Amino acid sequence: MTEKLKENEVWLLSFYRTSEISGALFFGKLCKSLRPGPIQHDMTKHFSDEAVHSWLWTDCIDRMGAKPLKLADAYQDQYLAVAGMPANMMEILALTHVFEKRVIRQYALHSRVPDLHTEIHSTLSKIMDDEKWHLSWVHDALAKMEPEYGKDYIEQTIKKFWDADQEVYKRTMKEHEERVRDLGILTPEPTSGI
Amino acid sequence: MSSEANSVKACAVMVDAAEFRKKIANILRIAPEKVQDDCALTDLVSDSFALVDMVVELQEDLGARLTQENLRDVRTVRDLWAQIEPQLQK
Repeated sequence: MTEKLKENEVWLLSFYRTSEISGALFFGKLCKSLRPGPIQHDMTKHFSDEAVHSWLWTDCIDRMGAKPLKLADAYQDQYLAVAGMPANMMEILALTHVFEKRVIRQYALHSRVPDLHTEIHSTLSKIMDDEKWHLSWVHDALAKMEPEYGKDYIEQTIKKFWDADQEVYKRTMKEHEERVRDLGILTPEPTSGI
Repeated sequence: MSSEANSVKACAVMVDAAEFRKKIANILRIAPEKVQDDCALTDLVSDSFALVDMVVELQEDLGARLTQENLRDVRTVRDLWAQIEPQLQK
């Protein structure tokens, strides 16, 4: 028997769906620009995963008797306003590293909500494995860039985007506080953990 | 060029400002006459991520390398060319 989704749940799952679509479109376009190599290879899998995740959320919402909401902006759309535009592949990967950590934290937090619908829990679990791989390939690609950019500079860049993410997360939580509180997902944000 | 790291540094391509504008038009799939030196870059793209994509593709095409610092004061096509051109003349 299908459990009915609350309005706030439909919003949150639609928010995830929108974020996955934005990620897929951005990396998909970027993959067209890149020369053949390991980054192009892994980024192609990355964007195809994001596209599948957007499908999984769409299907999850549908199967629970609701319709996805059309949301204008994705979480990551706010990064550029706060952190400035990444200008090269290292900066894009540094920002991606921070964003993937955010996604994993958010999905982990959500999966621990008591009495979570089994459909949602199952979707989160499916996606989490891919997200861990995303973090891993980006981490490895950044490590390979150390001879070119320097380890310290890469770490500084990640730190800069980490600070920006903290700001974006704070803003997002403030804007949607009622919704996330209603769903039992609001928790204190750690101050470190790059 | 090391395809290993998708490095863009090794082979800078010789182009002039007019060709540079044409490349932008090609990447964005817009009419070349729409890309003028004083055009704001944000007016040429649909969203900020499209701008990131365009800048990365230009670097890939031209063998240039920009950082966030380089783009701090870049607003127009001319500003962007001013950041890329010196790298093409090396």
